[in-house]
Amino acid sequence: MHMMLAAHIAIVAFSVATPAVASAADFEAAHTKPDQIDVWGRRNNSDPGHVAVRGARVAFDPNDPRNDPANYVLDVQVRFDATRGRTCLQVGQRFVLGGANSRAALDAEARLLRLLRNSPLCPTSAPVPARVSPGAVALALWRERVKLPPPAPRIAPGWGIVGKEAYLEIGGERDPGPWTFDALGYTITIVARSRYEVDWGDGSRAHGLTSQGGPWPTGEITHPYQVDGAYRVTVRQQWTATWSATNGEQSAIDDGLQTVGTLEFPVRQLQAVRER
Amino acid sequence: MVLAGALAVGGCSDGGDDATRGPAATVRNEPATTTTSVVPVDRVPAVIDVAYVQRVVDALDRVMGDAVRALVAAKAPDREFYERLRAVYLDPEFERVQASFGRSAANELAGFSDSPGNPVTRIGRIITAANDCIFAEVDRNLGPAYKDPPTQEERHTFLGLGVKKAEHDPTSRNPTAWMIGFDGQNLDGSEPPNPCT
Repeated sequence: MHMMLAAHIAIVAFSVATPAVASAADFEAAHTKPDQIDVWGRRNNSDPGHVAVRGARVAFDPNDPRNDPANYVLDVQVRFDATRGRTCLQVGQRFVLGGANSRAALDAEARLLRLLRNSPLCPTSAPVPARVSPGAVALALWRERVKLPPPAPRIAPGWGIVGKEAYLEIGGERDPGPWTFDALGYTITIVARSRYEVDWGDGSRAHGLTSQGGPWPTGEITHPYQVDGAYRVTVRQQWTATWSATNGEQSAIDDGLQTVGTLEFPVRQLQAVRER
Repeated sequence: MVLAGALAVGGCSDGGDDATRGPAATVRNEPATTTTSVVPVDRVPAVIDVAYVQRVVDALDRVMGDAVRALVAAKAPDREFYERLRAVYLDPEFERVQASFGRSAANELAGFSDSPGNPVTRIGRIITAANDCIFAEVDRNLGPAYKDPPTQEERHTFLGLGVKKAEHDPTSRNPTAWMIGFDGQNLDGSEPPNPCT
C-alpha cells in the first residue's frame, strides 16, 4: 500500500516570534537526531516588516503506533459536494492497528477503484494514492471483471425413482480461466478454483465436492430419494482464486464468490402390478 | 453510529469565556406541573425543562429520519440528505457524522434498513442547561434506520445541543432553535466532558 504517513508529531520547541503570520514558501527539513526533525521556512516576499525566517523542532516517536504506516488504511467516503451539486469521494487515512496488510485495507482500495469510475474526488480530499497495491487491483478485477460460469445441473433421464440413486451431472466449467488483465500499471493473472455444494431439495446436502459427477453407473454424486414428489436441486459453485503479478507478487484472493444453478426434478414411485 | 471516545465539543460554545456566555437557564428535570403554555421548539424558554428538550430532540430526530430516508432512496448522499444533516449538526460533530455516513455509502449502505425510521431519543437527565447550551444523558435508539437493533450500551449516550446557526440551515430543514454539537459517549459508557462548561 502506498500512502503518505500521517505523522503524529509533537512540537516541542518553536523559535522566532512576531508577527505570528506564517506564509513561508520554502521549507527545509532535516533529521537532526533519529527522533527529532528541524523544519525551517523562509518567506519569499521582501517585506522588511515581517520575520524572514522561522523554524520548528518536532519530536518524532518511532515507537508511537500512529507513526507507523503499517497502521493506516485508506478511508473512503462518498459525500455530497454542495457547491458542485454532485457526489464526490473523500479519501483519507484511518488508523487501524496493523491494518495496512489486512483484508480491510485491500477492500478499501478496491472500493476506491470502483467508486472513482463514477465520482470525482471532493475538493477537500487527499489525493488518490499514487499507485494502489496489486492485491487491491486483483480484488477489484476478481469482483468486477472476471465472469464466472454458473453450474448447469442435470440428472438423466430427467426424473427419478423412489429408492434408486439419482446421478447428478454438473455441467459448466469447474476451473475456467486463467484470466490476465492489464490494469493500473500491473499485469495480473487470476486463477480460479471451485467446489460444489448440492442441496437435493429434500433436506439432504453435500458439501465440498470437487467432482462434477456423471451419469449412471459411474457418476460420483448420487442421492436416493425416499419419497416421491417434485424437488428443486440447487447446485452452488463456491469460487476461490489466486492472483499473480508480473513483478512476482502473488497471493490468494480472500473474497469467495458463488454462482448457482437449479434443476426441477420429479421423483416417481414405481409400483409392481401382477397380471392374471 | 455510536461515537467511541469523547470528542471535543463544537457548537455549544464558540470558545468564549464565561463572561460572554449567556446566563444559565433554570433546570427543571421533573415535568412542570404549573406550565400553562408550551414553548415552541424554535424558541429558547427561560426555564429549560425535560419536556422542552424532549420536544427539541423529537424534532431533530424527525429531520434525521428524513435525511437517512433521502440517503437510502438515492443510494448515495444527495442534496436532500446533505441539507438536513447540515441543519442538524454543528461543527465539528457534523464532519464526524458526515464521515460516518460517507463510509457507509462507500460500502453500499450495508446494514441500513430499506425503509428507515426516525431515531428515537428519550431524555433521561439534563446535566446542564443554559440559553445557549444543553447537555443531557439520553437513551438514543438509532436502530430504526438499521437492520440490526443497537445494544442497550450503544443506546445509552449523551447529547450536547448548541444554538442553531442559521447559515447551516438556509432552507429551514431544522424547525428548532438548536443543533447537535455532541453526540456520543466514552468508550466505557461513562459521562464525557461536559461541553457546556
